[in-house]
Amino acid sequence: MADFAADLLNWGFWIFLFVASYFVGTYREKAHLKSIVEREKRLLSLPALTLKFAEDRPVAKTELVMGSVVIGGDFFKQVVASLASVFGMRISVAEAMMDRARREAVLRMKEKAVGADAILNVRIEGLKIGERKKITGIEAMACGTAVYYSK
Amino acid sequence: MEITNIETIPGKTITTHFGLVCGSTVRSKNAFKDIGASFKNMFGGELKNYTRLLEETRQEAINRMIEQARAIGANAIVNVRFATSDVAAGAAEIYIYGTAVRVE
Repeated sequence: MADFAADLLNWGFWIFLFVASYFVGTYREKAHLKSIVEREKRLLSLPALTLKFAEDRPVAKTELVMGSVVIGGDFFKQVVASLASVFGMRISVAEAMMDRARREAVLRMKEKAVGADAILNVRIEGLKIGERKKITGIEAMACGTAVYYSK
Repeated sequence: MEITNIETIPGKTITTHFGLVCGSTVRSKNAFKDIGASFKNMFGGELKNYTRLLEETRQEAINRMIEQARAIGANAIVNVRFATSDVAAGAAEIYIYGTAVRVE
């Protein structure tokens, strides 16, 4: 009986964590996405381009700008990802995470280029954080050349 | 020091090429801070400690590259690239390189 109770407590803890991390993780993800969409709208006037050439106008200043973010996965995502990778399924929870990280990185880069007219040659890089197969989080880094045209 | 990741500095002309300059840093994570991160990792969200750590590391590598460029008499660095590699478990190297030039 005592054994059973201990087992139940042990399993209960992980199940509780699984359920709780699903709700907390989803809530945080939604809040983050909302803020991303809002800021993206505000920064629409500053285009991030993959082109390498500036417009044919006098340039006042150029500057290297970058933005980076590290986003951690939650317990629910880890379980789902390891289950999905058994069957070779698409891991949509990870896709959402990558998407958030990249968009956030681009936004932070744009926020650093205050008053710029365009950001040229934007590159986005990723870095996995965590030892060996365990993924603690993912880093996305965006960098580009901010161009300020003379007015 | 002007730094870009395109081949030119828009609005200026390159007069001299000095060749490759680079800067690198190897940083490891702080085990104490990592406890907090793994705790936070249960529920997702941004890991601000890591973001800050990587930002500092990149800035340090850029500063080293700038120092090197200054020493050889350049006033700009073009075509800057970033690279990362895992050196050991829990440590990462950030390597930044570009071409030092003199612009007018």
